[in-house]
Amino acid sequence: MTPTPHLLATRSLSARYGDFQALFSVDFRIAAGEVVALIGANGAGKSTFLRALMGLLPVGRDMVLFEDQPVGGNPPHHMVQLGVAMVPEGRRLFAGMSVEDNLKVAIDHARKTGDKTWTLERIYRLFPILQEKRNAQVEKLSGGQQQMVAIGRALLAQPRLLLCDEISLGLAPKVIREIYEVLPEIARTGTSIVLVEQDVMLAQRASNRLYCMLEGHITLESTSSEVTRADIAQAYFGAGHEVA
Amino acid sequence: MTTANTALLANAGTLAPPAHDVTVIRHTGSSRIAAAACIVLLVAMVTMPWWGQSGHIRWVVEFSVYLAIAQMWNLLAGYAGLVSVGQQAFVGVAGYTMFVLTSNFGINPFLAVWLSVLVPGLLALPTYALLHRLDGPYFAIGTWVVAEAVKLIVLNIDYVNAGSGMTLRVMSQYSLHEREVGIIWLCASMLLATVGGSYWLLRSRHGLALTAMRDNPVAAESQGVNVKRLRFLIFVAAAMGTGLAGSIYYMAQLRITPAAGFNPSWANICIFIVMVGGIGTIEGVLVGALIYFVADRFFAQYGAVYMVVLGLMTLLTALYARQGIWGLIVSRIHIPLFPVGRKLIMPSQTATGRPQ
Amino acid sequence: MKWLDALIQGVLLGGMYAQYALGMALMFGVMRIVNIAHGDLVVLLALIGITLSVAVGLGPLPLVLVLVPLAALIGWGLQKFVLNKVVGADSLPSLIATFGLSIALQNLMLEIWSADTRSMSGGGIEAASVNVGGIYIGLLPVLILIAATLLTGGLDLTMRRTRFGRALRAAAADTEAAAMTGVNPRVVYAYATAIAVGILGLSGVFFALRATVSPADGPAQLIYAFEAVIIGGMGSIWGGFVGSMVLGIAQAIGFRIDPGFGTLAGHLVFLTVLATRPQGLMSKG
Repeated sequence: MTPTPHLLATRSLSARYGDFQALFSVDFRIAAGEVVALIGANGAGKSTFLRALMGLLPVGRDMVLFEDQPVGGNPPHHMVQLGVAMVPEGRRLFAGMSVEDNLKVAIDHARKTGDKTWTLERIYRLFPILQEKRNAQVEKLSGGQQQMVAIGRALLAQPRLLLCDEISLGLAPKVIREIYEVLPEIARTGTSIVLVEQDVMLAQRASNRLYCMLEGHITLESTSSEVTRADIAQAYFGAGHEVA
Repeated sequence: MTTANTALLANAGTLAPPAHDVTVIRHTGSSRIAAAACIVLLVAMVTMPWWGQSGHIRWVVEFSVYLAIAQMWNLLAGYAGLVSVGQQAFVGVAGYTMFVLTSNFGINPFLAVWLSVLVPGLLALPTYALLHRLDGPYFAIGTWVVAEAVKLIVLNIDYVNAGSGMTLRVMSQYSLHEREVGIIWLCASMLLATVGGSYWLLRSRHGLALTAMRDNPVAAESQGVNVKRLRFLIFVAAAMGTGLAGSIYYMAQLRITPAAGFNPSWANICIFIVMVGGIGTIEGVLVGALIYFVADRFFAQYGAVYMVVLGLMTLLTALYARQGIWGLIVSRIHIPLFPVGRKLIMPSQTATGRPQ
Repeated sequence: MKWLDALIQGVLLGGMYAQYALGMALMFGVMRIVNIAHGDLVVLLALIGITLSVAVGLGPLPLVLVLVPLAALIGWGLQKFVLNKVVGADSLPSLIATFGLSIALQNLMLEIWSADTRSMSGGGIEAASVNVGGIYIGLLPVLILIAATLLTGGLDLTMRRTRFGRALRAAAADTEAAAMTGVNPRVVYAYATAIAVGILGLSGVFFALRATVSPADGPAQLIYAFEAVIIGGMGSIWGGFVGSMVLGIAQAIGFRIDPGFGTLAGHLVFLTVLATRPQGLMSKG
């Protein structure tokens, strides 16, 4: 097997919440510019996995490698400086602050090395409605608009790896389409994307490769265009994954 | 998990009794020893005027008062989630009521102590109505301001001698021995009512509701615990229990002033004893009260340094040992003195030599 | 005339409270941290100031230059070594931790400075006043009010317009989301508390010039600061200022009605606001 150049990889990543082990020896990799989907049922450990990558969960140093450097357990603001940004589940915007102030927080603390690919103007071009609403408090926005702010906020951190947690959750189909249309543009800038998604079809279409998780284990790794529905069903629900 | 279980159990009274092959354990060896020790101590206490020294009787009175007000605060903060820093309001008004009833209405002081707890109970009603919607720190500050306001009002009432306070002259009609018997018996009743009452409450079906509420009020509510009503009842009961302790304390002192009766240090004592001893347990309150009593009794003569130490102990408890000293003890050895839980023993655990 | 005088004196008194309330508005109002030792820190700084002015002969202005950095350092350490360990959704741990600190500080000050009241001599400024149409207006209270106004305006702008202000508001709104946006919440909180306590360095000097100070004075200053912030409305920097004015005016008018009613009037106004508008006067909704 020839080693593929990867931006981020995990080696036997395990994580727990107190007594509850949420991740079991997860091996994962993503190359520069790649879009990788992560699917699985509720509670499979997808969000936990992203949180572990972002430094929001205590994990072993060698369990997460960024450009082959061990970075596991780095605090989140260090991960941002390395080039990891996250669109968290439930958006988690800064309530009581305007759209523009939410975005400015990211600009203020963006990755210092490398080009400033993303500017406020570019985010406003990507999501014109945000320019219109830039002085509105974020809690006054619709769900889709809030999701745009969350994506904009993550992009303004100038990430090389963008972690997206359930960005379609609770949104109307038209809004989901609008949001998913910008993913190729983000990928074209060379930014890798990890896409946690409930909608398997959507995830498959939007990604180059995909992983499926079940009860904290990776049960499937495949090129998105080649994977069959039967493979996914088996990995998703666990029928016989132990013998695979 | 625990939350759901305790909340479920709180409703257990409406359910069928457990199958007869499951045993419910509510006592342990250590708790039986503790219960026996309590009875011995209580007997020793009520007979003390016939064998003890007056100085030591005063110590017992003081210690009992600390124990009672701290246990009342423990019910408030440890179970109802009501962090009050204004308990001195109830100490003061009960003390003043007792003085007024005896000095101005000629009521027997030992009866007046019991009557005086009605006033803190009444004061608790508008206080709770005003503050119950407020969360955490708001509630705490609110109770403090209410206590300050009550103090300032009493300071301005000439009927109770305003700032100069009142003296309990009627006590001089009793001999020292009579006074000691009266006060020590009051103290014993107070401990039975406050500490014993809490223990009984926590072991009753309401205890499960209380524990569920402590662990997670929202989950408890969804399991049918009437959190609002329970909180209200605890607030009023704690006000009355705290008032009883205040009345007895100032009867022993023979004198009350607004500055003393409404001193925020009453709240400080509660917080120190419960937080350092161990919140949410009766054993913790005992440990905390002992530490405070010993520190106050034997180190106060060397200046305020002991209070610096007590303050730092509270700080360190909040930082490193949220469950207090008793929590540190039980994390090492399991010796419940006042168990309030129920332990289910399945037949498979008790049966020995079961055929395979 | 009597009432106009009460109003003016109330506003001037409010200026003093606004200085305590400012740090409280930042810590309690924005960061949701309950710092019971806030009042004791004012007293501590005032007592250090008095001692320095007696021992070294420092005037009020050099004292401010010494005490403000010292206070900021104390605030930074308080956040870093104490409060950062207890911040969270539950405010009880921060309340208990700072409560313990408050008891320790009060009694430590009692050991060092004894229970005596002291005051600072400011070379005549503390007694200077002007007579405006029959109402005596003290120069020092006016100076305190001006300083409070400038500080409030400055802090409000800092919160709204600067990188630090945005980071602090973000961390207060959602600490974890702020961290994944690149903010180091612990550092931002440590700076914020350094500012909140740093302001008390100035308040401490004014307090010592304006009134007598004793180690037991902390809780009263604390309660006024809390009342001001809650009357004004949480999360609003100017809210603490407005609340201070309301409190100062209530106390001054109460005092004119009956000298024993002054502080009580302030408490009653506070309780009325709590009962009728618990979100505060300045807050929306």
